[in-house]
Amino acid sequence: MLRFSLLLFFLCCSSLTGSVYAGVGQPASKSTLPKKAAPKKIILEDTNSVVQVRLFDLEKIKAYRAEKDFKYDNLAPENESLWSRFWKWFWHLFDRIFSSSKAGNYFGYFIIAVFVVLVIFFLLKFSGIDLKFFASKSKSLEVPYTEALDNIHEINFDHEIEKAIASGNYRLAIRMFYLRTLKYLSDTDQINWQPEKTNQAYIQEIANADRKHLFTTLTNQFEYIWYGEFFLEKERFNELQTDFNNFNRTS
Amino acid sequence: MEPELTNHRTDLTELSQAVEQIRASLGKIIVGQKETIDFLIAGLLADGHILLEGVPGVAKTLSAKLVAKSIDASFSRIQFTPDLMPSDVLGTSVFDPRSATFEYRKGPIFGHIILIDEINRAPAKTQSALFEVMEEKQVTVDGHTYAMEAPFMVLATQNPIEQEGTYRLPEAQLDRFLFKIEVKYPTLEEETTILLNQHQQNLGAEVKEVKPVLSIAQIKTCRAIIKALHVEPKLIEYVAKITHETRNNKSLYLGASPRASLAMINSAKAIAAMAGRDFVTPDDIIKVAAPVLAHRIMLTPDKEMEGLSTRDIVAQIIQKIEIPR
Repeated sequence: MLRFSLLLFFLCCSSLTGSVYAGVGQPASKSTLPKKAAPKKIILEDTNSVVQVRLFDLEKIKAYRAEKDFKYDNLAPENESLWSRFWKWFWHLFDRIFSSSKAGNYFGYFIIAVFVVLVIFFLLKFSGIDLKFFASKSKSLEVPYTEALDNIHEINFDHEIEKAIASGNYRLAIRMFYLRTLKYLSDTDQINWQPEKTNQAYIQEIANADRKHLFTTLTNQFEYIWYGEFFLEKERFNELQTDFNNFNRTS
Repeated sequence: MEPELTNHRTDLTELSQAVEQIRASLGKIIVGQKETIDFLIAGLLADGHILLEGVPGVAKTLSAKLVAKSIDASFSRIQFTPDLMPSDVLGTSVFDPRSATFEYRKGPIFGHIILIDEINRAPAKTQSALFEVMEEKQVTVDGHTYAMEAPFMVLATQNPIEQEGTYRLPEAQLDRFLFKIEVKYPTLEEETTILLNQHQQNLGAEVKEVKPVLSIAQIKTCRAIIKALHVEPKLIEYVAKITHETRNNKSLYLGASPRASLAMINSAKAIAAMAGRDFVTPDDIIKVAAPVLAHRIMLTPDKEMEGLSTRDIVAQIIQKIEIPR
């Protein structure tokens, strides 16, 4: 009842206001105005001044018309690039999702997804799984290394030794002899060949005392010549060649 | 073969004799610890500072004192305490009322061989006072720079960081130590020998009897010889590769600096010279890798919690890299 009374009150108020405002700026109807006598018209004439007629300059009008700023035609929009169209589409989609009535739902899904990802992340983290597995591959071991260790099982030693001797590079020839000796020891299971092992480690692996002593001597010779870069004469090289060949012949 | 090849290159006789004399001198008093003694000598020859780490009572200070006594040079000892100030180490300007001027009084750091005992008991503020003197061998106070006399060597001892009342040394300072030598407990046989020696002899008198076997001039000569030793270019690449790997290793939070690479080369040269060679082999590099690198690198928190040590990681890195041969 109260509501109805209030509604009625507002309707009455609005109708009254409407009628008040309706009277402003509008001619009153004939029936409502009192009848009065028409006033006498007085016209003052200017008889002294001469009227000069001024016309627009047609040339200027033409020039103005030609100007771009005064053209109000609806021009067709310029061609948009694919990139700008993509972003336009994206932001349109964004607006549609988040300004629609269903936006609340989408936002809820988004929060759930973030929560699930975080839970998975922490589970992986605490279970000790290396998460860097998913990241790009480390470049840690990609250091340029001009002369990587030769695979001793793929070298044609005879050819390489001949080549080194022919060029007078006895140092390189001794290196090849030493690598061939390592291959021989590896093939006969006297050592376990691993590229990261040092020569001293191979010495320790040889069980036979005599062989160990001989190999120690050969290793020292190789190290003085290769790492120490000692000059090697042909005569001395020939002696060393014999030592290496003798070692590789015996088992 | 070996004498023939070595005869026409560097003469290492004097150096070898000096090394043997120090070894013999220290060997009379210190039982075992051969590796520690060798690294102490290598550090001296390679012009580096040494940090000795170990639990109390494993002869860290004694080893350092004996090395210092083996050299005919000035020696001073600074006991680092939690309230030590930088001026207690470097010295300070004191007002002289007679001349109405400030006069600089040199601190105990001025000397040839400086033993800093329990270095990690002083806070970082005091440690920072050592940065300049350890790297540049000079001290700047009140706008004046005082150069240290050669040879200048800091021998510091510390207890493991986990122990009560210790601070972790700043990384910048750790990087200035050539080696960190971990002094282990003696074996059962060694401990028995220590007890027998102590029981039968007067150890205090023995220590006093240690005479200098190396003069300053000899040290300078040995250092010059070591600097000139030969390192095959591929071995230099090998060292660079080891250091580079520490910077990319997943288990490490902090890798080694280029100073570490230089330290590895210099100390490998010293080790080679001590072995009677005038050239470096991969074994020399591998021998110094852990003492040079372990204190300069830092583990990631998860690896630390797993109980790994930096020495383990250095060993893993070495096992990954091919020996240049």
